[in-house]
Amino acid sequence: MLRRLARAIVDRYPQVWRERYADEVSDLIESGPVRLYDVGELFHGMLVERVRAAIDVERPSVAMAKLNAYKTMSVIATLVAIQAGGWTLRYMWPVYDERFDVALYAATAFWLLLFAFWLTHTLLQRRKAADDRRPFPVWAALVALPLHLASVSVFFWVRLISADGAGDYVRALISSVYVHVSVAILLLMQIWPGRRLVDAIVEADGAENAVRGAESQIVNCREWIAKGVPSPVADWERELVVRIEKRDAALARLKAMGYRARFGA
Amino acid sequence: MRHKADDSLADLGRFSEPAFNILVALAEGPKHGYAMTLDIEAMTGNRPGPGTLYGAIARLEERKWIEALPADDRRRPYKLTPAGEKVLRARLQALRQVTRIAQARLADA
Repeated sequence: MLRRLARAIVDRYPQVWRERYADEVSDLIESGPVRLYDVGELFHGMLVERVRAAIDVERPSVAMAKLNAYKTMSVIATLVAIQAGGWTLRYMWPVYDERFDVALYAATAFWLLLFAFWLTHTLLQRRKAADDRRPFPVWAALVALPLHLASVSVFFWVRLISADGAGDYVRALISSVYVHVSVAILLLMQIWPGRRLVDAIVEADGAENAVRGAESQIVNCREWIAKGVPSPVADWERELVVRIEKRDAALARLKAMGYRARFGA
Repeated sequence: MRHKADDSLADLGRFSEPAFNILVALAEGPKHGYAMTLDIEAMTGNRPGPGTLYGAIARLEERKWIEALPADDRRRPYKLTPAGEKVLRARLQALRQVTRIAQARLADA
């Protein structure tokens, strides 16, 4: 069963990756026992490779737009998951059962624990130098995300049962959805595939914008000088050189870790 | 103080440890994926999963620290390149330094 699942996951890797490594990975899967852990990490690897394949590292602004689109899709998927969970519970238990108070207490305790964990992690990371800081551990996010979605589904189910008409239901949903989606996105972003690639894209996109900003300042300065107003054009020209160097370095780093760099695709 | 070559292994993020293990496994000679898995399990006590192993192999190949040899059926052996050997030596040197300091401190304690 696990072996079949692992093979199915390997089939979902991007085509260029499959052409290069699928035979070898399939051989590895056939050669030894397959653990649940192996299936999980193959799945995570599949997500990483798919994101890498979808992102054009030559054009950071387009890559950034794609990443934002993925984020939006994640928000929608989270909302749909919460709604589906709540409605499923309502279908299974149409009347509020007081035993579910236990589930509500458990959910609240879970959020408090999650908050304490996040706070401790953040405080510990702040003590480190910026380069050595690590994101929220992946295993914690992987455990917390489904628990969070399950807890929100229970809350949503209670709201669904007690809502007095559609308006009440929508108000209840709006009042809680922002916080719940924010938590879910925080957790999702920790298990987001290829975080280093994402960080490199953000850096390159920012550096590109900084270069455009300096170029625009130079144009403005020249216009003022033409009108007889003294302007610091030389300062901005020096700044432009520095920003171009930073941009080129960021682009080189991004290209080095890009999918196309690896496969020449 | 961190070494430059050591930093380049650290650049592999969550793959830096499996990448180091692969470099150590290949220091003995060319090996394919399954042989690397067995060797790493024998060395560390932990068997790397296929996703981690091939994630690290892909990154090492990308940096030209290892090189693929012609495939034998579905198994493709990999060998350490001179650049990979240099990175491995630098990391071992850094580890030796840490070990020396740790041992001296334990001896003082």
